[in-house]
Amino acid sequence: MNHFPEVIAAWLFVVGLYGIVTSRHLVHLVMCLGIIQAGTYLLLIAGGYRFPPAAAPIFETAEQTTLTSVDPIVQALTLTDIVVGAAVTALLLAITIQIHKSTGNLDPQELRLMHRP
Amino acid sequence: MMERFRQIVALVLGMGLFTLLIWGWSALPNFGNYPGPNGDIVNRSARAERQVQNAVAAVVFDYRGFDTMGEEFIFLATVMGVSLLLRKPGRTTDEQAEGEQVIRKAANQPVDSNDAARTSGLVFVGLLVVLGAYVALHGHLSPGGGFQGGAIVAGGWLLIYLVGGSEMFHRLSSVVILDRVEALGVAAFILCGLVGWLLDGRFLGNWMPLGQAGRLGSAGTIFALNVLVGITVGAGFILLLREFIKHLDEVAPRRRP
Amino acid sequence: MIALAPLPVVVPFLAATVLLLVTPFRHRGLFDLFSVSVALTAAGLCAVLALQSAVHPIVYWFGGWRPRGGVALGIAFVVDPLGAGLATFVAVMVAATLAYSWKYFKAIKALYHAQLLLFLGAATGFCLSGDLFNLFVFYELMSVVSYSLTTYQSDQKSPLIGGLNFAVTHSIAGALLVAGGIGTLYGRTGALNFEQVGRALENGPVDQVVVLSLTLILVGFFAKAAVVPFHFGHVDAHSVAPTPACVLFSTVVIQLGIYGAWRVYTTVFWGALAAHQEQVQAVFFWAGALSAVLGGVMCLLQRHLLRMLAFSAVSHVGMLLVGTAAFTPDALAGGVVYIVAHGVTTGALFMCAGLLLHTWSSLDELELRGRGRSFPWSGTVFFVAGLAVSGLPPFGMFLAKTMLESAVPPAHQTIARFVFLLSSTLTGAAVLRAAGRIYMGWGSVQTPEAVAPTGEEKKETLGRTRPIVMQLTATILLLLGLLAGQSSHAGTVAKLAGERFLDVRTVREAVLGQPVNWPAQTVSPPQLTWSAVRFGMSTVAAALTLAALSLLYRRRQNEWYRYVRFSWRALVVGLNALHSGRVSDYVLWLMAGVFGLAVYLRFVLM
Repeated sequence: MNHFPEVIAAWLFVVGLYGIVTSRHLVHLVMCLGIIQAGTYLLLIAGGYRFPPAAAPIFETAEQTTLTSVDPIVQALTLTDIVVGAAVTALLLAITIQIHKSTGNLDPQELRLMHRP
Repeated sequence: MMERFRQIVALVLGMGLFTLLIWGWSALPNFGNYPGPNGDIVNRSARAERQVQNAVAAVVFDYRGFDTMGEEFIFLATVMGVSLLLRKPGRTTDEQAEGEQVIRKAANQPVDSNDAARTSGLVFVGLLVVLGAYVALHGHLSPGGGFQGGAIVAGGWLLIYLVGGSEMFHRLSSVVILDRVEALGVAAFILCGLVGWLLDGRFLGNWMPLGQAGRLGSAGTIFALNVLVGITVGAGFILLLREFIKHLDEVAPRRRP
Repeated sequence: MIALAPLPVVVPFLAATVLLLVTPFRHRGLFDLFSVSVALTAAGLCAVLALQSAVHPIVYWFGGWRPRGGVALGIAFVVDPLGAGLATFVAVMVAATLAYSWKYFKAIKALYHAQLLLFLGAATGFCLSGDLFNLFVFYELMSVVSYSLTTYQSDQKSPLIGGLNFAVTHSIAGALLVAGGIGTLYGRTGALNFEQVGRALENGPVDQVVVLSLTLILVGFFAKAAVVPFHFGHVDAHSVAPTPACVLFSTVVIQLGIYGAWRVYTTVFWGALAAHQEQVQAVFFWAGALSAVLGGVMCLLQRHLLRMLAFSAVSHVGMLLVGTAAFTPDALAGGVVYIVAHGVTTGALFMCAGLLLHTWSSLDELELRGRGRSFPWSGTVFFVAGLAVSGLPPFGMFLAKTMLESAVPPAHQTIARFVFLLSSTLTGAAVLRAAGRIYMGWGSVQTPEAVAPTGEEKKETLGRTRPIVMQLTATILLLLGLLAGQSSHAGTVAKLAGERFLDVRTVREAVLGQPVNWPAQTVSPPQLTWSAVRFGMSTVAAALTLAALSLLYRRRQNEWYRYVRFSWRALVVGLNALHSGRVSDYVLWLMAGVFGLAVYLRFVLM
């Protein structure tokens, strides 16, 4: 198919969003956020792909640079994005741990902000 | 009832979004037909102008090195944030260290894992650390780089906790040292960029000798930044793991043999 | 000629790492002094950049990677007076916050200061950047620091939940931004540099890709800017974050979200959408109107001071959007003055509220009734700031509103005026009512706000600061607000900045081609007519009246009043229920917003 990776990326997005909305466990919620981010990575990398004989952008000899290769820029962007995603996941999991410590409850539907007088 | 309603709305919106995304992205170039030209220009110029074999490393540390710097700081901010989040409430840093000692003593009791698992586990620690260092050092020559290598080293370090127990892990990962190492790595990254700025106004421009492509000591600042990032990311991840393990110690201490 | 462009980002970043390295030193005051000086230095650097960029747009390529044949390989900082001016403002606000938080917290090494310096570097980078992915990286760095600051009191339930709601919604918005902005646009144009992408889009058709990317980018930035219906996370964060963090959230973060939308819209999409500009700009207008009205109404219904101020900020950002939806130089000029004036005035309000929290461990307006009598200085600042917020001349917000109003196209004049009136009155009334209740002890306890959510504040993490520090910083900010209202200087400078910002052709030439100077331009200072002054005074009067009515509210038993009360009660309960505090609802609004906007754009653009 011509846009297969994009379809998968869209699917990951939507599955992740649905998971977050209907989640009953905070760790599950954080993992769903990870799924959304995975959709982003897929979209980025797929945009830079070329079918063989295009090679990976590793050039062991000077002649190899004259052949066609895939796009290295999106790979760099994805790398950065993965680090950002890992950072946010770590922070959210730390928040989850603290919530568990202070309330013992990990259900997002029951964790509401502030008490109503 | 509200929950059912929410599920239905989410389903409907989800399907709508799915259609929207596919509709939008279907007008992009077909898969496998990257049109260029930015990527092609980078591919052609990376080896010739920077003596680097891995074009992705060139993009990460040279062409778009400023993004990498920002990303390093996101990582740093996260480690800081997790330390802040998982600290004991109301205590200063001194009391913190005392509290940790108490936990570690409690965790120091016999456990039931067998010798074979422990020995092979500890052997793998060494292997993983060496692998991580290799990946980090050779980032400019083959796929890999500082981030990847640092993550592998941290994974190996985690193995110490799994087979050696909590006390050994804490003994080998001193917050004082790791904190400094991480901050130094990032500071060195900025200073490297500043040297380029001071010399000819190009922040993060190359100012080190380029050497010959294919050798370990080539690619100038790309190599240096690679190593620095590896150090920072390795130290940072170990710190992160340490914070989470500290919490585990209170809940389910892992005793050493 | 030294290239100063990278320094406003590099200096705070380096300073943050220095702080992390020297944390054994216990001299708390040293950390405060060091960080404030770094922030002020960054402000100075940005001011110099602003002056330099008045002659020609400054384009700085990192690593020396200049474009080849119009193809940008590296990352560029594109500095124009508006961006550099905003960066200066941000640096000043961070400096004020750092000064305000002198000894505010018990020292946790120097982590708090380091985080604020990282925030500063990211914010200035955000203002100066000319590259899509670079913009995203700074957006994320600001966000990560925000999440961390929100959950500072990590042993209590509320900050954690508020932080979680905030973090999850903003992370999704950020992911949408990347997917839409970077992924989709890169797939179509192969570029990340604003100018290169803009030029490529102009040469191509306006099709699904443009619709989708514009939708995702706008939603990503509007979510950061707390535009309704993406404001829930922002408001929740305010209910629980420490006061200095709230200062930054309401005066810097949401405004930068709007700036990001302006920046990307004018450089990337404007040219390509030439025929449809008005219809797309209608999105800004109506989203702004909705924010302004809803924010204003919710503002009045709050009893938690910081939450009330958060809604006031949402309302004001709505006003900003309405006033600048025309995207003319005068409109953007008014917008810039508004951002600065609103920032310093609201900052002063937050700081006064923080003093109350520190002394009484409460931010609940009803609980604090009368307790503010021991702080006459702070009370005066609070009251005057409340008047400034409702548009009292000669404060900066009055000037900004006048400029914005005169820039709205005639077709929308009536609606815009109505929105401005409503928003200023409602938000001003809420602040003035709080002033009356807290500092004078007026008003009863049986009011509609009694059903609003309130928080549990504790003083554990607070150190031993002095009230005088807090009051001093608040006063300084208020005085800056007065300064910002000096029309001939502030208005003229802003107008010139607006002209340069929208001069897309010159910037594109400077970035992708050869360096070039701005074309010569003369601007006239904004006109402050008597009718404008009358309008300003009338909003202030309306706000005072509404505040007084609010304070004098007493339940009546009359039949007629019962119907009014019932429908009013229904509205109040309904609105409060909407702000449920649950993250799943907030995400549903995000999804609905994306879908709705995409449908609208599809039928307007294709």
